[in-house]
Amino acid sequence: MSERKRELSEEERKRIEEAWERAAERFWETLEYWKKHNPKKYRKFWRDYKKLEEAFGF
Amino acid sequence: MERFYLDTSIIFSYFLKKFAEKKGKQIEAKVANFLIHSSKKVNYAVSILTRAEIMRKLRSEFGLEEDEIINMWKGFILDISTLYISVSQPLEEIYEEIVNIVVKLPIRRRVTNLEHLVIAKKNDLIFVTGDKEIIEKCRRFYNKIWSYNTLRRYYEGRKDYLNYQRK
Repeated sequence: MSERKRELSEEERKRIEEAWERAAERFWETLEYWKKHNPKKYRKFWRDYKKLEEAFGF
Repeated sequence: MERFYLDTSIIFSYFLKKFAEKKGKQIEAKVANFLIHSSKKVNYAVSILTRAEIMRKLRSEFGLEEDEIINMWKGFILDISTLYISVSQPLEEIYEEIVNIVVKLPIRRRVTNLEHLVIAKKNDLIFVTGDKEIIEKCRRFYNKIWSYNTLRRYYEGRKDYLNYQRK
């Protein structure tokens, strides 16, 4: 049924960190774009996120 | 020990937290923090369906690149020590179960969460979901369906128990 994760090399870790950096940039740009041009979508995104936190009882 | 199959919303909260950290943004990330901390003591699992849903969201909603998405997914699996389960059952077998549910019960939403449910069932995992319809209607088909709050209460209780054992 399963496949355990394997250990990553330093090179792979570096690639992962760089991927997070680049992706984070574009992710927030997208949210900023929604905020200006599609506020309904922007509000829904954060409303859904808030609902998730509430469903956990936080 | 129980193993929990997580739905996509929980997983995405981890990605959101990481994006916030990378850009120094302040957001409430209690669910992601819970996921990270609890993963040290509780076993979590995801499947290729979870991976597909997360990757679709990152690509089509946020325009992220393929190599970024693949590498972030690797990072997520490593960080949360998530078991990535291979779905070995034939599609026919999975959808037979889904058909068996949808002909008996009116299900308003699309079948993706039922696919998750059947994957969890076939692998004897507890399905943790925020889909109220699944929680309320589908326990007669598989009784290992937990809400987010139930998972949290279980973890809090278990944490107390583990701390008690150490004394």
